[in-house]
Amino acid sequence: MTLLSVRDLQAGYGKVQVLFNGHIDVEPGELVGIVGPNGAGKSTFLGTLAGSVRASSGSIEFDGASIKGRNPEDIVRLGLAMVPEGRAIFTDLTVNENLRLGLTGRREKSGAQQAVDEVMDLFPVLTTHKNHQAGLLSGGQQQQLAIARALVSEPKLLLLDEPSLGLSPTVIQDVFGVLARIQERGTAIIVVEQRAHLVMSIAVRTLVMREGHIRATLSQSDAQDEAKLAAAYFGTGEDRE
Amino acid sequence: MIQTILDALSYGGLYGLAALGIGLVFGVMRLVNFAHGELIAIGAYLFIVTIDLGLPLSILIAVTGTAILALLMEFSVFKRLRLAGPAVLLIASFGVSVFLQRFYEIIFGALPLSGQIAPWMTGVMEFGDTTITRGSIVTIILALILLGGMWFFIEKTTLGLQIRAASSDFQTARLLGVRSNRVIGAAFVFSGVLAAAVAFVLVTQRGSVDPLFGVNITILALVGTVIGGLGSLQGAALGGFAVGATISLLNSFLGNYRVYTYTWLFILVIIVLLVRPGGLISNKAVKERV
Amino acid sequence: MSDDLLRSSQLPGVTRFQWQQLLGPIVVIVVLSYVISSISITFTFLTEGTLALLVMVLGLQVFIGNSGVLSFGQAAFAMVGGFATGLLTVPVKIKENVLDELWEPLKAINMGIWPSLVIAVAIGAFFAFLTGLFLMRLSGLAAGIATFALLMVADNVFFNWRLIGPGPQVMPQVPKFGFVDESIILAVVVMVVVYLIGISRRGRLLRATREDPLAARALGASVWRLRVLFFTVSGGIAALSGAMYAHHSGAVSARDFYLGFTFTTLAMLVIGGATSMWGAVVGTIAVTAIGQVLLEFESGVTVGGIDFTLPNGARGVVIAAALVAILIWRPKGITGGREFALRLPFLNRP
Repeated sequence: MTLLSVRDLQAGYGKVQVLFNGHIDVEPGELVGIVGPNGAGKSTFLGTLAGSVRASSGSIEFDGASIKGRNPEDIVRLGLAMVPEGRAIFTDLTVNENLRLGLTGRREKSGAQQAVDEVMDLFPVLTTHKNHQAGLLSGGQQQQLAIARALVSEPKLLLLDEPSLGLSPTVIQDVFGVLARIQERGTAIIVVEQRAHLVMSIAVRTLVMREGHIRATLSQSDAQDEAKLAAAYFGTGEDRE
Repeated sequence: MIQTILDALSYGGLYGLAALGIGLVFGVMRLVNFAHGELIAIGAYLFIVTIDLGLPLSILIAVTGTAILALLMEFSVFKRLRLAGPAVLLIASFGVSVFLQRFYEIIFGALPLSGQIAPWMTGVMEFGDTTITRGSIVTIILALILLGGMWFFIEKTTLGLQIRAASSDFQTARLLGVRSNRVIGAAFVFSGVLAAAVAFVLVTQRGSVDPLFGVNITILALVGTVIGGLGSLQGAALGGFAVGATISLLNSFLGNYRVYTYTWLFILVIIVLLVRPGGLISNKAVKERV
Repeated sequence: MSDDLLRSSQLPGVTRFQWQQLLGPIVVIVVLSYVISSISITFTFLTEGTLALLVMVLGLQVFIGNSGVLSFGQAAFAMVGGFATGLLTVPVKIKENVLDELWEPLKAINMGIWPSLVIAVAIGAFFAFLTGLFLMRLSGLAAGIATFALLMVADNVFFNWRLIGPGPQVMPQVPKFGFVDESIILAVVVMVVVYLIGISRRGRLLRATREDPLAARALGASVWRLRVLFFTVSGGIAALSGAMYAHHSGAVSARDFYLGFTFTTLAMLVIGGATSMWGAVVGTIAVTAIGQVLLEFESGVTVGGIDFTLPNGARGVVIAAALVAILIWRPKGITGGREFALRLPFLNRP
């Protein structure tokens, strides 16, 4: 059964519509990418899935249930967790406290300690800084904490909003390496990125968005085809690093 | 001399409790609850009206009643204004405050109601040749217990952690599964409990209650919250303490000039808001909170 | 850039002058005032007082409605205006006897009501300008708290400083208006001013920043300048309201313009609709009407043979409840924030 199925999603802020006819399908364990320039509506799209943005119309089916219009705190308990743009970790709280907060969204209270241990395994740096203030961590470490925090709720689907933002190339490699391991454990992932090349080589499918619309869906092999990519982007070659 | 220090400490503790009550709700909702004073007032009214049932029962009724009123405020008014901007929230809390003041006038009358709550709070104790008031000691102890208890709750319990997270970044907390209603409800309940404690001290001192009972201390506690840093719970408590202690010391030493205390306090509020909205006491770099 | 802002944002409210929007409210106020005040002396008194309140609400509207910034402190300027006009018009002999600690030059000065009104407005506007230079750097919650602080400072100063006023006591023997006409004229003038300012280019610009805080930040200093301008105008109008009130009641005291006054006028503005001049008018009329009806019930009313007596304080409870209810269910107020519009087929523009 398709894990996530979205159709005809419209969303915006106040009188301004930002997302037009959003649609996506994600099977369990898949890694899907969403790319596009700034202001394309990618974050808004993720926001409607996670419940932090209200969709005005359309349908969102997750794990057999409709989640459109539901609260974020209910959605995470259904198994859909999001790592927001800019990491949004609680800088005044310790690493451990940040992780404990992630446990709030667990479906089952049992197994919490095991989940934390597994996540510490994936991100050894967190064990070292367990009792340090999260604000003291480097950008890359904070990104790992943000992902770990979302993972302890053992989601079926993980949403990541621009995880590479503000990170150096080496760190980005580390972070995206972890994504592969997360996927191996069976978690489906949607990654939103401005830098298309980061995502397209690992995603089974990548949606290209521009000005609120989904312009194209590219397969992994298409990722190598520069012409197709440029056409989907409509000439935003300056995005290349 | 000792009494002067004790007075300063007890006033500081009292205002710290009041400011923390305001700070708790502000942290999770960005709402400055002008009606906090009316929570203090209902606590005092409940004490006066039920004291004949004995102090322990009276305390139970007053604390429960105040907490219930706090929850009522949240459910009937503030919950429906969750997404409203700061201007609407401010006017709404002002409206609730006036509503309750007039409501008390209708139910209890405009004239003060008197009663003797805890005669053992008044009076003095003697140690050798120094005399100190019982009230100041009890207030200090009460403030220590409650502030300590709140500190423990906020720092060491899960719900306290959720409140801290929600105060820092409400949206992200929800994304992690923190239930907004539970956290906001808890903040209101605790602010009600703190208000009841403030009511206890004030009503034993004054021996009477009237509809405007809580207005004065709320305005000053608000000053403390702003000076200590909006959005910081320690800042609120410390700011309240500073304001209370300062007023007490000014009363003791300056006598005549205290008429303009308010002027200097509120000019300080304006300066803090202009220059250091994070507050004088707390160290946070607060940019988008206010 | 401001032109882009004007063009691109979806501007609410009025964008060009329409006669009925200005004349409608004026006709309503003038007619109502004359009709009500002719009923009895009590009602004349009520009308005069309500017109003073209307001017205050209009003053609130021109700033809060256009900038979207809440000011809790406008009553401070009403205080300034009331005290100024009082000091200028109270007979010298009274000042020497009752207000003996006054600054000497203030004791000696004396003039008629109308010149005094002009000066009161100017002084109020001046103080609004000075405080606005600082306070208008703030927005949202900070502005609300800071302006509240301003009110507290003003109250503390006027309540205590005997150099400039009667301190905790009342300044008596302020000359009164002869007829209700004077108040009506002043109210109409203010309505015209507030309406024209609202539809002016600057008014539209300021409203655009209200709708779009990001654009407001991008415009930076220009927004601050606009807000200071409107805050100043609002302060001058508030001062006029204070002065009108002084000449209406024949006395001034600091507590006339404190929290109760602030609550009543804010409630009037919000209930009527903060974003239009008509909203200010409707709100004032509505709250006054409700207040009067409830006042009657508080003294006891017999309806169909049954006695209804409301307890004292019922008025405040109802108005406060109305304010909160409006904020929850109809935040744009009774008028929906729109200007006056008469829905008669031959009056409507295509």
